Amino acid sequence: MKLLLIEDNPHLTEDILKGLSDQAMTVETVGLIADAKDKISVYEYDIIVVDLGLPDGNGLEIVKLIKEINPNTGILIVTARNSIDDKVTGLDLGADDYITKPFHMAELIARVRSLFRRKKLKGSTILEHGTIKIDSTSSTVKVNDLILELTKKEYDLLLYFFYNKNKMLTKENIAEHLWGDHIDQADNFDFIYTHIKNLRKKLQKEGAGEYIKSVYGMGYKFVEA
Amino acid sequence: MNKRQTFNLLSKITLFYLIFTFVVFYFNAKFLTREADEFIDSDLNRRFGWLEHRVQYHLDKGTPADSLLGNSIKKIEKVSKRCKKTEYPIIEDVTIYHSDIERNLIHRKKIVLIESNKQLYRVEMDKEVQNYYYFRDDIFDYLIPSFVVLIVITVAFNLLLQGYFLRPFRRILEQMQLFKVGKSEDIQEVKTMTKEFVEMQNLFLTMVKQIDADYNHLKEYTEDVAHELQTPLAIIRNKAEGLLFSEKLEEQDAKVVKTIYDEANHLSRLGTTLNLITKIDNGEFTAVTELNTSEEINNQIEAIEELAQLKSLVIEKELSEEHSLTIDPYLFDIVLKNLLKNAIRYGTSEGPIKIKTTQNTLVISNYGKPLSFAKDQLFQRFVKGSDSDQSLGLGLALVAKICAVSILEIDYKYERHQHIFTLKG
Repeated sequence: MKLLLIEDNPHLTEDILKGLSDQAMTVETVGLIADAKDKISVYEYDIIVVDLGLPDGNGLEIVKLIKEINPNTGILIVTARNSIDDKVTGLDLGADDYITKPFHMAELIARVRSLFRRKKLKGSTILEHGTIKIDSTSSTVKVNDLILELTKKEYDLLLYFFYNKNKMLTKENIAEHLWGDHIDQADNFDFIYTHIKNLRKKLQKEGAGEYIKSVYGMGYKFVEA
Repeated sequence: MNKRQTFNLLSKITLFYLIFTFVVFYFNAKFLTREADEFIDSDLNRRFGWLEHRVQYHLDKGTPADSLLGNSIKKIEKVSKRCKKTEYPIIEDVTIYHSDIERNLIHRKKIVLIESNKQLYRVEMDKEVQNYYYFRDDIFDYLIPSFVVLIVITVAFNLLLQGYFLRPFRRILEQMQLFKVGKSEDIQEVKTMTKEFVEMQNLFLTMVKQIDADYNHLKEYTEDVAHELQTPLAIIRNKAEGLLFSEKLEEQDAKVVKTIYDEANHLSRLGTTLNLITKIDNGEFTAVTELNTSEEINNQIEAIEELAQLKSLVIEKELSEEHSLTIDPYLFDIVLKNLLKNAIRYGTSEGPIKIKTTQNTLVISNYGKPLSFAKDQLFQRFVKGSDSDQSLGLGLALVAKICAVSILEIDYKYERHQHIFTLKG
């Protein structure tokens, strides 16, 4: 997978590069619209992540250009503005998804991978981890070839773990991914524990290994059994 | 709002003009009538004076009284010197029937005493005055129709003028009504040569420019603040997260890093929410529609149902298909999210969270402990329950703000262990 990151802040670029380093992706970075234009006209990318607030203009410009040059490229816009105008215009211009700053690295990875799956593999991939198989077209999960009945949020949670294997996910991170604006920091995140317990129980009942590892006081990690 | 009945300016002016003209006409008529009466009296007095003079002259000369009688001198009788002289002269108007023209005509009669050759005569004179009176009454007969014609012409003119002269005024008003903040380029300048309208339009355009400039400054400001603030916050958060997962970190240090991480989160949310409030205040949400709420409520309930279950809360809904609100859908989304978030955060498993809509109201209630602060502080900024240190304390302030700009009414009460929020359109 080839990804172009258009972001002007070097620290954020560094963090994203680090976050994506173990995702089997080739990542290139630019900090200016002008440089991005050069890159786009020469190379083809699977995914382009573009920050809207760039020093030499609005990233929306790029969105339009990418769609003209290579409509198959998946575009994820990053906005700090939380401005609906930008989101709506971005999506209208052909962006596929947006993410609002500040975001969890795990969230960005999940979005990028989901976008890649949708755009490049036409959504038809089956994700596998040990004895677990996720068919994302039909949103079904199989353990040892037996269908597992999961609620919608349990499915989302499992998919999120799949995208972020071996990464620590905090309770806040998981809660934010699953419920977005419906929760905030004021909430007691103990319900995540119940949520994970339910998912674990269902997985184990069908004989899946112990993939979800609790890291005391920190969060959870999806690991090889 | 002032609900008093209003009239348009030109009609008002016309009405006052007509009242004024009526007064002028009326007093003018009164004056002319009085003048006419005075003229009639003085003219007749002069004529009767000549007659008296003639009778005196002839009686003095010894002409027999009977030979003096004629058209104007009706009677001459001798009277005793002891008669009541103070009663004379007698002047009166009488109606006399004229058989030749078969009409009653008014005559003025004057009776005087004349002394001649030591004999007192009572002389009765008479003049037909009908034409004088006709002339006098003509004043009213002419003025009333003229006034009526004036009314008709003025009203007709008024209607014409309203259409013609006030057209630019109406078009300027139209532009004012159509004006939306941030869209001053849509205003079409109205061409007019009326000085007042030109002044009004110029003032309006200046104000619009100022309003738009203010609006854009604030919009840019909130966007810049968002961008410049959220990027460093994103970095702090990411770095803190990275540190947090480092295996080299001591437990004591991990706590410190966790605090940095949490506070960065808090700051980020605070910035976003305060920005949102500013944007609402700045009137940036203008996509107001008549929104049928049941679909949106169902969607949101679906999104949080599992969350509620995880907290052992039950959601009961009773939605009316007829419930609708006039609001920007994005703002309604925020209102609903915040009210539901509150219900789930503070709800206890003592009873269900209820969401009910009727034709006019949306009621969201949850069981829970009573408020730890005064009810009237509920919708204020940074007021929050004692057990939620991390809460922004802005959720309900945001709800109240949105309700205010969308002209919705939001009420809160605590009854039978339930917090009840009622939203009325």
